[in-house]
Amino acid sequence: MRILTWKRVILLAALALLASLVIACGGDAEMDAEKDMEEAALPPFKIGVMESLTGPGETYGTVSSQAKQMAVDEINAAGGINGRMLELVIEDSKCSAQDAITAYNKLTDVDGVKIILGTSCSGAMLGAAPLAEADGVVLFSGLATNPDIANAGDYIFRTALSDALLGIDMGNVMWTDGIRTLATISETTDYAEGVRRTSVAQFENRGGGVVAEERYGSDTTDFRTQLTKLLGENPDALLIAAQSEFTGGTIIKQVRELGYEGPIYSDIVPVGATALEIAGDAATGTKAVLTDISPNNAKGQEVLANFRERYDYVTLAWFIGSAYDDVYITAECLKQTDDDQDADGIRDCLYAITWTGAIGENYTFDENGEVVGLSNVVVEILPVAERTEENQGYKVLGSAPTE
Amino acid sequence: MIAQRISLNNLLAVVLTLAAAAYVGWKVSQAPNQAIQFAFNGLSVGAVYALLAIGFTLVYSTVWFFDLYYGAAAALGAYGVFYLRSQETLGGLYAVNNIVVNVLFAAVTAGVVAWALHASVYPRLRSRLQPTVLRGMLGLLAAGAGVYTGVVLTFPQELHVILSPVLGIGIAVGATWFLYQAFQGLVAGRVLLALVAVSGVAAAALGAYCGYFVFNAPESKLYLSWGVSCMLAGVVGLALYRGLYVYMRERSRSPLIMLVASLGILLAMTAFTSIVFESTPRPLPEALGSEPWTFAGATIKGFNVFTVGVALAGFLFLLYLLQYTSFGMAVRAIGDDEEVSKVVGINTTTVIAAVFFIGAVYAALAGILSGHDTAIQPRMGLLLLLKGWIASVVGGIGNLHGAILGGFVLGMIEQFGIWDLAGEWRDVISFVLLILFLSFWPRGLLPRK
Repeated sequence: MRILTWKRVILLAALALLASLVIACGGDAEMDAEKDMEEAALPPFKIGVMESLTGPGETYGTVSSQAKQMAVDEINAAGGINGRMLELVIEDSKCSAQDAITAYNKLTDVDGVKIILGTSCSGAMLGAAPLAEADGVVLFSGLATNPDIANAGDYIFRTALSDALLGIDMGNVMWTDGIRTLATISETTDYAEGVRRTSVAQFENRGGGVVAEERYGSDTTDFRTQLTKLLGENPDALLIAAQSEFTGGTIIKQVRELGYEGPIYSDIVPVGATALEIAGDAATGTKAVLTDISPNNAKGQEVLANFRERYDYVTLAWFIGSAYDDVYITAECLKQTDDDQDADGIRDCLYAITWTGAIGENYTFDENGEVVGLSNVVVEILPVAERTEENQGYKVLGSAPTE
Repeated sequence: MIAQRISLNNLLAVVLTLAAAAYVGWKVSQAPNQAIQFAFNGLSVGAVYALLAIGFTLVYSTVWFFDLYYGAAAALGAYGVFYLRSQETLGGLYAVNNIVVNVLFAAVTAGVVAWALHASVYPRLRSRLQPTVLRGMLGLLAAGAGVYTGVVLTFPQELHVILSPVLGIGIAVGATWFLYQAFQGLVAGRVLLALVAVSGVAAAALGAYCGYFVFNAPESKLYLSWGVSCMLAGVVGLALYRGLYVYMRERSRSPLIMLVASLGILLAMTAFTSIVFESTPRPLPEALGSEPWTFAGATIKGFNVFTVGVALAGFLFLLYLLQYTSFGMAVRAIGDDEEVSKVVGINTTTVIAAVFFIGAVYAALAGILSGHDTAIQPRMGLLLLLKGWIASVVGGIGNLHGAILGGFVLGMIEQFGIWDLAGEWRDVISFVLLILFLSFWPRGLLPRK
């Protein structure tokens, strides 16, 4: 009996504590609400951002979220949208489907956003897209390029160019350069695998052949064995499809250290600033097919200049422009719908919009939410001495050849 | 019955070895150039494994427990270099300098120096000086060492300037001591004193010159940071030994408890590294010998040759230390029987502390070399630890000759093993090798006598 009494006392004490907490918190919440009402008549528009801020995709995820923050600050400094401020809720989707789903659930359940700008990695995008489609949440990416995203749903948009296009351009560039046999090394991620698959498909369509292929996990640091095997087949050229700048740069460095002197082709990742820093002079002459902001694009150059002034560096310029445009396009649509919870309105607005921004003029979205009116260019990496922040280490050779 | 089983084991082992040899022989005859390239790659990674296995063997054959901190020391060494050098090199992309880290390492260094002074200097001077004065002086020295470490970590851009006086004094003292040792066997009495005095002046001049040289050589910062990182890894190893293992060894004789404790340390330090530096791989700045050299259609970097040289030098140094010095004799005695060593008057705590320090320095060096060769990441500690362990099992656990042999053998087998497999199978091959050795040759290629 005694023990029972003690239990009751503890129970009562706990209940009393809980009750007092509830009362205290309730009081706080009411006060907070009152304070908010006094301070701002109209709450800000809230949009979610998911980018890979850590992990293999941190370079472009970080650039992208910084560019978005810059665009938002510009919009707010100019008076906001219809008098209301714009607010970003930024979550780290890492570079994986699992983390993207966690971030997505947090943004939609906790923050209650209906528009999410992101995400940076194709794998992450493909993980979150079915959820967004089912919930009717607009998912708008500036960076994810896997071809499968085109069919991911009605609410899924992107200003990133599909790898299907990149692959066709890449295959054509290699074939036109006289490459007939190819060795490939690719990271085992959705994006890198997409680049490899589409490039090889086009290259084989033209009549070329793949003599060797190797794949690696994102945390690999020593590629020499795999590269030795690839070079043993004496390919005309090496194609690198990497998800992280670190591995891309390291592969270029190690393959040159193994004495390989032939041409190297890659997507944009292995020629990013971090990758070039790692590879050093080994990267000189590497050809990459990528999207770039042309020097003649005044708006794009202005955005890059502002970005450099604000963050003191520029890398992956096109991603900066793409992320920046995404915010402005969304802001334009918010201006029309005047409701950040109206995902359907935003979706319809996106289908109808024609935009001129940092990455190009008069581009639109097709019925799959794919961007129309932008194209890839072919670039060649310059020697270390000629690399500057302005040219980002490469010279543009022109548009990719066609068949 | 037993004899039958052993012969069956032997038979299976012989068949496996022959099959492997035949396979490699056939592949080599198919593509000799590629085989040479694989051999070079195997040498490069094998040297790192060998270095790890040597240090591992030293610690293991003295205290007979798996100190998993050993892996953390490798990561610590590599990240130390990254920490000290990343602000200026690598385009300033990875600038990191954390006041918490600096203070932490300064405090650990001060504590370890205080203990080292207490254990070595204090008993000798106790009778000559007043205890309070002596304690105060030693305390000041320890605090000074701590502050110095903090300064080194806080201003890595000035590493060559900050370290030059200490380096000069160290070289002068070391040279004098060396000459003293050398003269001791030849002459005695006043002649010896006079000779040492003369050579002391020369040594001081040498030290001053070296210090001045480093002072004016900013390009030496990278290599100075190697030294600093190795010392820090060693100091942390000492701190763990004195602060944790000593007490645990007193209380329980079970190596299993120590193993679990050191596993905790390894995981904690890996997590700590991930927090400070993030978990993705990072490059280390360019070191010497990045130019590839070509032999017979295969290439090897100068740095890899250097790594092989370091592994061999580390092996010879340790061999000399264990076989020809009184310290080595004490280490071997402790390895044979710690209790008896204590009884005959060996200060086991100090000797084991030195062993832990040397072991951690070897691990850190292996981590640095591997980091420069490829890259660094927080979980590299566990990977390198496992490879070092496999190498010492293959070579014969507890045998120094076996350790260096095992390191290179493991490196080669890893490379040749994936000739026809995808690259991801490399670690699988290492572990299959481990299982095979534990089943058929548990005492390794060169068993401990």
